[in-house]
Amino acid sequence: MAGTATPSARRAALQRRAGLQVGRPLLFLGGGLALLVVIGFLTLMFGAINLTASEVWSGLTSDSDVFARNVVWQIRYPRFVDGILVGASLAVAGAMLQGVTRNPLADPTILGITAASGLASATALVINPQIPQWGLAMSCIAGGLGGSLVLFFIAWRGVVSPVRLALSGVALSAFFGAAIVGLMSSSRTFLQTSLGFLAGGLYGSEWTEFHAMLPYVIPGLIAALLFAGRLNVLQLGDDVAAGLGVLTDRTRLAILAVCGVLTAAAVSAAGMVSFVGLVCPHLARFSIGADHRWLIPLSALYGALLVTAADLIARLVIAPSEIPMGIITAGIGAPFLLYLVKYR
Amino acid sequence: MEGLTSIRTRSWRLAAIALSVLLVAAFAFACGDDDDDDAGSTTTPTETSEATTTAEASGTADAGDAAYPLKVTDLLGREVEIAEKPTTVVAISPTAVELVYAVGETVVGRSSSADFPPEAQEATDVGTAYQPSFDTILSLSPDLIIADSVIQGGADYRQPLEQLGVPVIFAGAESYQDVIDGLTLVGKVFDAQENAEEVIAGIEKARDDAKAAIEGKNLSVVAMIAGRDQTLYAAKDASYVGDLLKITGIENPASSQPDAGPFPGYSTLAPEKLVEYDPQIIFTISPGSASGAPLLSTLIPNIPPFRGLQAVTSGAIVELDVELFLESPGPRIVEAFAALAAAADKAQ
Repeated sequence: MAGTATPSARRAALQRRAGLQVGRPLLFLGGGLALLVVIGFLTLMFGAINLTASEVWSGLTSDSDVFARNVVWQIRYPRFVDGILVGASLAVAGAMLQGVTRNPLADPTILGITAASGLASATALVINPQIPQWGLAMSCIAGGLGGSLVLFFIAWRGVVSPVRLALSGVALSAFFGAAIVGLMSSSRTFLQTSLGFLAGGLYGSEWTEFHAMLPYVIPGLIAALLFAGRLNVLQLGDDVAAGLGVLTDRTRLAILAVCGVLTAAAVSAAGMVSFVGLVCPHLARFSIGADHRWLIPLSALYGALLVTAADLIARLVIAPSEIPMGIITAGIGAPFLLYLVKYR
Repeated sequence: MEGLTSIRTRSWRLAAIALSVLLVAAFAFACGDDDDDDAGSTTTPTETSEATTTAEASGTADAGDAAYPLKVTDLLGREVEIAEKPTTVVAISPTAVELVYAVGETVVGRSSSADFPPEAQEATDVGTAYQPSFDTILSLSPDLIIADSVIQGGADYRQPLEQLGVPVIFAGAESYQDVIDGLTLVGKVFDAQENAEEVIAGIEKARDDAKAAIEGKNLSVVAMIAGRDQTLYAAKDASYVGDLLKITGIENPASSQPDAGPFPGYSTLAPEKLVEYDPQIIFTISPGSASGAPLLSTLIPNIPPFRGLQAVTSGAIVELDVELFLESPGPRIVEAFAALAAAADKAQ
């Protein structure tokens, strides 16, 4: 076919394909953003008590209905925005970890980074139950960074192999997880809230969590985007990557550090949510392929969608009571993981 | 041709990435402006409550208004300003609900498990004490929220509660003194100090009666609860029931144990330790009994190491009421003292 096409037809075909290269991801991004807005509006409307669409609108835009305004601005909207940040952080961390370990089963929970952040959070709360949210976020960041650095150095033996990284992660996850349970079984601070913390949930989160997370999430996401190119190169194998000028070990260390920060920021607000980092990068890969320059933003979007949708379901299932959102993400993620193991 | 398409897609990509980041950032910063954190929360509700009550307030302006606005310090040490006498109160724990009714006021919203006094059951259920629904609380348009300093004293409850734009006071009880302080606080808040003092006087009398009944008996008692995994925990002085034991002059051998276990004021009780203590009476509290779990008092005699205890052989195992001694410490401490005095007779 190519041989018989005229030069103008070939040019047209190339332009079409170039358009498709960009059109497809933009389509998914646009569609995802639209879906996010829809979920957002549903979140504002439904919950322990339901607001009508017009009440939500007046709550958003005016002071006239004080009750609607408070529910929208002090309870539901900040919780929705927190969900976006948590979902985006975890999904991007998962995408980067899958890239850096070249293992489709990698995510912050499996590699122990969530547990490390959780341990730091639990320790901080035990030491000071009244710790302000920004202090809690800082402790989580320390834990997440510490966990990812420990992970790197355990897996480092002259050079870091993806297999060793994955294995070390599993061991660290078990270790930190046990430490958390040990801390909980002997500390009054966790008696009431342990389920929400262990499963992951956004109950009670509002603007303070948002402000505490933001300084870590935004730079983390930007850094992830900047690393996207190098992640692409790492997929080609360490030798090829080194040949192309990528410092594989330093890049891996930097990527792990960014993953640690993003995961920790999410854990500080929502506890130990699992499977978001596992499911969303794969969904993004189904959508637009493995180019990390599109994979990272699309994973972030899918993560935001998953967490906010799960939170909405969590608040509706047994309304007016609620279950931890992490139960829903695990309920979706675990079967997905089994599917991955079986068929891919 | 190749160069042309790659430049175009590269700039498209950069544009899309920059747009997404800017979108999130703009989204975030646009909303971030609107929050009111910290103590600023008390200023908004005064306007709303004044707006709704100006009609009634003008009539009774002279008599009651001398007391308001007032500043109270709640049981967490927080200073809260109360602009006017609260009329629409939501109390989100059993203790808080009982404190309100004890001084003669009513609530419009209560926690799920708060079923005493019977009038309280008419109030709207706003969720359990461990997971109050903030939406439902707000839907009742309260002018005061009373939370529990023991259950909800941590930052993860305080922060969202303070953001609701309604004055919040924390009053809970982990000891006899807490009950007194809670009553005094609530009495002040509702300008019902006389009612509060009457209730306190009744409590002091009940305490003295119990002390008199128990004096001279030299009782040693271990009070136990069982966790869901059947682990036994013994009450120490820091727990509510331990404090009551101490005040009535009952000796509690478990009070010297180190703190261990998730229940505040309780310590994991090893079976050997209970055998060593061999108390004259065993008090048991069974938290799961309402949902059908067996009573601890029926289980203890069947546990082999305990069969030789003097409390078991003489039948001196007393099941204490879960609400009075664990779930709802508060003005019903009067009944708790009476129960202790009655139980003390079992040893003799």
